[in-house]
Amino acid sequence: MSELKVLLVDDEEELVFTCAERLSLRGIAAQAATDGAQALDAMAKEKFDVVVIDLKMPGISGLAVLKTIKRDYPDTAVIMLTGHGSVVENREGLEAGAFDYLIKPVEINNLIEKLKAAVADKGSP
Amino acid sequence: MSESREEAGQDRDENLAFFGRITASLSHEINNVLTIINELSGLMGDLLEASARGKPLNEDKLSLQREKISAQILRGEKLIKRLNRFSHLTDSPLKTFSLHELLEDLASIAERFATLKGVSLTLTLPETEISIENNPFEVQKTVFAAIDAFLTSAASDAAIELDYAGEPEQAIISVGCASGHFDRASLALTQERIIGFCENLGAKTEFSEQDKRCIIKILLPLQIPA
Repeated sequence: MSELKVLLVDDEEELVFTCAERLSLRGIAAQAATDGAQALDAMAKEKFDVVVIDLKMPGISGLAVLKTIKRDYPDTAVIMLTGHGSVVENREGLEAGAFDYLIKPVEINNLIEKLKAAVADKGSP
Repeated sequence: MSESREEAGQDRDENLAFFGRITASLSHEINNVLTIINELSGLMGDLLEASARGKPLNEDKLSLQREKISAQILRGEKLIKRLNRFSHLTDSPLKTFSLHELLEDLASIAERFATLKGVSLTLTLPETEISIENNPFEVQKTVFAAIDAFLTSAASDAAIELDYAGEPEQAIISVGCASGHFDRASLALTQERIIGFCENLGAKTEFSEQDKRCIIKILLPLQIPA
């Protein structure tokens, strides 16, 4: 499998940059963005296999970014990051085309499994 | 159902809705802190495992992660104390309390809601601290309702200002927002609700426009009449 390219999007800077570093240590090319506008800028510049995005962010909401990604970059899978109890938002995200969601805090191996599953799903008919 | 029982039911529902909304917000923030600590400690583990496999250990980097974890723990402690103080507001329906402390806590809580909308919220406290006798939970609920009245329809560059002043026999809490930065029709819908909350506090409400700012004033008695 060629190197996986992932974009992590969350307004908690420590979280998103640390997670990106941990993924990089595991051979996954990961970049971080701290809001929706930054995320869309990054996507305009390079192709990502998967975007992992927090639904609750200031500015452009995670859900709005998800919808933009599914419209403009249909080959990019999206995984939502949510807090506990966000059942309605999770459903909205799945209906908008997210592959799946992860509930914070996320164990790194679970995240990697989900990333690989999202990429494998793209290859499925 | 009698009108008073129906009103009591509505009051209870409003109180529960407010309590749930605030505790959900604070617990979400606390969960974020735990998530960050999880990642930072995970990175420390990654660095130590790499060192065990022969990679030179970057002690400065390891130390930095420890400092970041300490900073998040301090952040978490503040959030938990805020949650605890909020929960204890319901201990007594009538007590004497400081408006400084109540509004500082409320501004900190409301800031997250404002930030999510890209709106700024600033609190200005008077030099002289004022204490009042009332229901602290209901006072916080009422002031939050006034803030939320602007937040609900605020444009992303709106600025909401919260302050209070003391007068003989009363304290006046003001919540203001520049006209044109929120939807007036939406604000009008919430006026009756805020007036109703204020009546429960023995308070009066004023809605006014000054210097191109819309202001909601909550006029609270310093003491509840016996």
